[in-house]
Amino acid sequence: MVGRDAKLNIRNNSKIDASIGFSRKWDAQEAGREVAQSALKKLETPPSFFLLFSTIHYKDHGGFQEFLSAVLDVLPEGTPLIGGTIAGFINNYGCYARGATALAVSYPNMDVAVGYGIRTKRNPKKAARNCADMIRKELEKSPYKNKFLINMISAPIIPKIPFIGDVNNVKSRISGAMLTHIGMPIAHYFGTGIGKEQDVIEQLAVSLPEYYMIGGSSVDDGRMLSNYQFIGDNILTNSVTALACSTDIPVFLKAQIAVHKTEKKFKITDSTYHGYIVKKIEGKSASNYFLKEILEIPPELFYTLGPFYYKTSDYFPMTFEENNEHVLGVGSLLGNNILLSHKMAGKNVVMCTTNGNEILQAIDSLFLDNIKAFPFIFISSSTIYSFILRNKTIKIKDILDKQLGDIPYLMIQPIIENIYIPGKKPVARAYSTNALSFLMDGVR
Amino acid sequence: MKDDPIANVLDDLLKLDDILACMVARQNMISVMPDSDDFNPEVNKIWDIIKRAMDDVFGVIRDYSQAGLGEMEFRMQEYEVLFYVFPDTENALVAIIPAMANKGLIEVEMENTRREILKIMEEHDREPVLATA
Repeated sequence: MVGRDAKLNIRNNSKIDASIGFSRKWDAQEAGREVAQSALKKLETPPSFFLLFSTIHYKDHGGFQEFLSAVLDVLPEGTPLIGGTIAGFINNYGCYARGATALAVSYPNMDVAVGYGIRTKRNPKKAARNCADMIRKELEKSPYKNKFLINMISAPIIPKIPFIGDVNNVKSRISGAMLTHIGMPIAHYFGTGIGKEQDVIEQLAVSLPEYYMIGGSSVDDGRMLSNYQFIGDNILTNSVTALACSTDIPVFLKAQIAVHKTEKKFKITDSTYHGYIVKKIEGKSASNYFLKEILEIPPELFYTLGPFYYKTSDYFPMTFEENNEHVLGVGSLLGNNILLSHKMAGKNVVMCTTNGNEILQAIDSLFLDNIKAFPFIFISSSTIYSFILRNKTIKIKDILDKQLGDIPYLMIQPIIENIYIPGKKPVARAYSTNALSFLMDGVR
Repeated sequence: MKDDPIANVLDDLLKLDDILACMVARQNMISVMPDSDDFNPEVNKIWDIIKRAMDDVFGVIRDYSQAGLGEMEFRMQEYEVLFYVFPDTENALVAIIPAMANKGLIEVEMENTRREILKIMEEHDREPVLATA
């Protein structure tokens, strides 16, 4: 068995030790124990930090508190830990949509802190500020100049509205208007609704501008009904958790987006709810325009398409002429209005498309400029890739194995990915792959 | 059946919420399947018609498996039936899922299940031909 641990001696003779933990057990307690034990088994020194991820299944197989307690029983006391629920993951062991995984890293020349902020859906900037304050307080005296942060943010949760139920696509104009102006704005009081990840990452970047950041939105199995964030011995919902490191090794952070633009463009002429709900496109009803002019589907037919629409809509994301880095999709149709999957980043929309080959090529090109000297790789990559690639998601693992060899790697699949490189704009988006590591000697 | 490693792998797959039923089968023969009491009861309502359609699909699998046919699927009423063919055999891993299920993630696990069963078949040098139904 190769590829689950790595030991690299660097310029000051301090050793970086990294290891991947993994479990496929169904029982929460057994899985927690196994994921921690398998990660620690390959480490010679106690972990400096521990990233823990699992699919949603443990919610109904013992619960996440049991899962996390079992992990902590195995870890040395006080090990900084964050993580959360994800749709799937790829590591040296395989490609999975069920199970638990972890990345443990040990390195002496590194200071580590964790932070969190609650109620991201209600007040994302406040939650991010609280999270950043905890980290800054812990790391402000660190002598090391290279800094990075890994975060998990609660993903959107479909709200339940009395008499309507789970709100996804709503045909009625009246119900749509009520949801637009009342339902969605109050959903955050109940911890549901849109994730506001862009607001969280923007505030984290304002509060901690010198940190390279990578993360994603914790999610369930795509139903968007619940998600959990882990920090220490706490299971949170509707929160952001983050782990930050300050070290003497430069940080490697690189991203690839796997979409290309089409000829179709339109202008958003009216929006509400902080740019999450589009009311008018080119002066006309947003949902009608989008269905008729962009998707070329008669609106009356749309609501009968059912699975067909859901299984094809992933192929048609959108970006903005003003901000090419932002890629998003339609969250749902609310009567005449469109709820975006996340915040609009401009008014001039360009429809994009993608396919399985484009996704695989984007991931293949992620590490092309670098030789194989990473001590580990942590990757946050779009869950939508698995919706498109389906069982061929395993080809991503084939690429990573070929590119990374024995380097321990962990690719998590959140529903929305986020990244911030100091000096650039922070972005939360879908359809991207983002990789973090240490920039070792010999790595270009 | 509980001692059959293939049945154990299928048991694992069946625990996923959206897998209503699963089995290893070929035309006119279900080779290995978990305890049918564990199948989602709603499958019973349409089992007869699905079974007939499955047998027709297995005719195609029999004819084209050697040519590299890897997967097939059909949608009937509110359900989809996925066939993951074991290379160069007439056998396939079959799963019945809701039509609205998130197929992408389910198929990641279908592929893992196919690979696990293939490994067992190679280790035991056998095809899954234990007829149970």
